[in-house]
Amino acid sequence: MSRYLSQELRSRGQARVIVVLRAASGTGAAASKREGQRLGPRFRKGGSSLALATSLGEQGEAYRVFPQLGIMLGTVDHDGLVALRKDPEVVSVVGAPALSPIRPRAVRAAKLTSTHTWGLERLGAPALWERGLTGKGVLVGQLDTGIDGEHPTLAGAVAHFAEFDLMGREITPPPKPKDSDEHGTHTAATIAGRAVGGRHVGMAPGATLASAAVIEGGDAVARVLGGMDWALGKGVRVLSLSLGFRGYWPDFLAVTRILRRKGVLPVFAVGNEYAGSSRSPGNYSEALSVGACDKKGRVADFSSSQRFDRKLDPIVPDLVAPGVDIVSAKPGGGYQSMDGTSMATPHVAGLAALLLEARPKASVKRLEAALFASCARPKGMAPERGGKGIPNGVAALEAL
Amino acid sequence: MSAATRRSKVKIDPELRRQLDQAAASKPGAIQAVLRLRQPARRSSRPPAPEATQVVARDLLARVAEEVGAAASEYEFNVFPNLGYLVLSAPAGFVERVLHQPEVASASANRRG
Repeated sequence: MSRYLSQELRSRGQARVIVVLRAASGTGAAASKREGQRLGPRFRKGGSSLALATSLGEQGEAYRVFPQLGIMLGTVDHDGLVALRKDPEVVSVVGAPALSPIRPRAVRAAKLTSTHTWGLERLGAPALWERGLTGKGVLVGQLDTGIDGEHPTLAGAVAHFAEFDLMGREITPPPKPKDSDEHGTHTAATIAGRAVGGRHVGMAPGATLASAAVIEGGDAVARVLGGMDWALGKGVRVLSLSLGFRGYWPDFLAVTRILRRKGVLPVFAVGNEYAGSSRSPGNYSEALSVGACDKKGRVADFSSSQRFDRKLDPIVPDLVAPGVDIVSAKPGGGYQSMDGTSMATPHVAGLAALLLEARPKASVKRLEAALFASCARPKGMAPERGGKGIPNGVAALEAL
Repeated sequence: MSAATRRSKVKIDPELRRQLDQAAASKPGAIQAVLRLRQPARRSSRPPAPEATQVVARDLLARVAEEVGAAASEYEFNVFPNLGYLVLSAPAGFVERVLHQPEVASASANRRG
């Protein structure tokens, strides 16, 4: 048994697992569904962690079947684990501990009552729109839980969509844009949501998205790499990631360098685990790491921050952006408010898209430097928590 | 041992090392490893060009398969040409041999379960 599984079972009496079914991925979708239903009683209802409760939905389902991937995701106790491993239709049961969307600290029902959200205003997006910048012609990569392509604010925003299996292979035929959760739809609309009824949630309403579902139901490095490789092939200029491994893991370090070398600005969330913590790849020197602030310009208490023993970029996050009470799109229609560095990150990705429309030939280094130069720390914001502070669109444009 | 299979300085993350050791000790089965490729001829840490990555990966795996006597059905892989990465699912012995190849710059576990 893996270290994760034994630790979780010992300390919590249950563990989050991925069950790989014998029904082949893709071709065995119907069989996977049937097997999933049969094996359902082996899982525990209502896993205890916030992440799990959110990922499995509010109805409290004990598990989720991913028929295209031929896997199940859920929580088991010791007996459930033993039973699943003995089942002839189960190939393997592995722990699913680490790579995850950086879950919002709070989710609330919300209505969009103003012409634009406070986050767009705080970063100066409306002032850039007035100068004719909407992000038009800029493709932004977004790897998350997927996207609701039918949402009115995302109409016309999704240029490309893909889903990847555990080996990082694109699932074919490509599915329609869909969200396996609600995280991806929210972050996507913050980047490039279009105005609906004159009301905006998106920083760059003229930009387009290359959006891929790479997490939920198979937290594998190769899935994210598959999404990165695909996005790079599509020609993205910015890559927004609101996911990560807790702690420092070098898995994506080399690839983050490759992204930069190929002209892609990596904008990664730092995590929601308070001061003294961070997530990879958001905590690499090579990433533009983003923490969260509130309407008053204070660093959100949950926003991760950490000092590393390294010469280059020792403090993460690099900057903070609006990440508290952020209203954006909800799958199925309507809006909801979320708190998290996952919400702050797409604000910065969208801002980068606005700047790239103005200066399409700007290098990653120059673009990042302009964003940093535009940052200001409100009174009371410590650099250890907020990095360089909060960026400003107009100042960044002038610095670029 | 040929030059191609001479042990190279490959960075292997501890989780992959643990999974390989565990498989060798007790549990046969596929290991999933994510490999960063490099250009062996140039002694560079840079990845191969996107158009060359598929060829580098296929040649590497075919060579190892021949060395260990593995059939094509015993391993599966996927190449990320734009990034210069390869993900491999294969028995532990096969993965161990791949790690010794000069085209491999670093390796990590695909799953951290």
